[in-house]
Amino acid sequence: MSFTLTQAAKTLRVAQHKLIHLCEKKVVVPDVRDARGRGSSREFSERNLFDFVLALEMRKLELPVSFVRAVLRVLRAFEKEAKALLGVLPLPDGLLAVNAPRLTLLILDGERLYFRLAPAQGQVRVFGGIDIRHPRLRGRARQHQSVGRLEPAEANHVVTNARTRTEIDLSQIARDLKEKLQQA
Amino acid sequence: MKQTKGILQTKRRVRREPGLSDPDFRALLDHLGRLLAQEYALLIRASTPEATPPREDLQ
Repeated sequence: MSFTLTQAAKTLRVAQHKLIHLCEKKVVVPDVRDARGRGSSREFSERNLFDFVLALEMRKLELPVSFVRAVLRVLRAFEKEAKALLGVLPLPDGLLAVNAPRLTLLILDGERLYFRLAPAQGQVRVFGGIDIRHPRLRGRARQHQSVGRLEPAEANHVVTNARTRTEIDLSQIARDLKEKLQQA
Repeated sequence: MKQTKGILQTKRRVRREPGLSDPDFRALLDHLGRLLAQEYALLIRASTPEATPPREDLQ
């Protein structure tokens, strides 16, 4: 199923210019067809709509576009690997499965990126620790650290000691998107 | 005059948009995505034992 820009904007109930802006900033790259000069139109997949909703939520929090792009890059890698392992695409529908763990994006102190997987039963897993400073501090000024799964005590320490904690519930975004698609 | 304006605009845009130009940074993001997917797959399989058998290289 594909969506034109008009259909996407109507489904998501947002102004078209907001979606165009995200495309022009290369935050969302149309899966079906990209615009090529005047007169051509973009076409989006359902997955693209998920990207749009997430990007718009992050922009509401005034997170920089570069930050949004980084998060979407992680999710693309997540999707590719999950498809190789499970044979199905996890985003967005896979997140709605009864047995799917709840996936949350965590931003600590406005600059460190983590993801949390919370199964219905059992321990919560926290991954990440990527430092996404403001673009001005990118390049040689940045130091890349290794990322991975945090031990439960470490995850607890990191989350508890953060000055600010921003949570974006990706599973809920997938759920809301599904409802909007059904209503459209 | 127009030419000069165009050049200035391009330079400004480059300065403001570093994006994911750093290959190390991109690799780090991809690595995080893969780790997340591997754990996600483990959790899905653990909750559905008769589902797709696990890939051998992850055993």
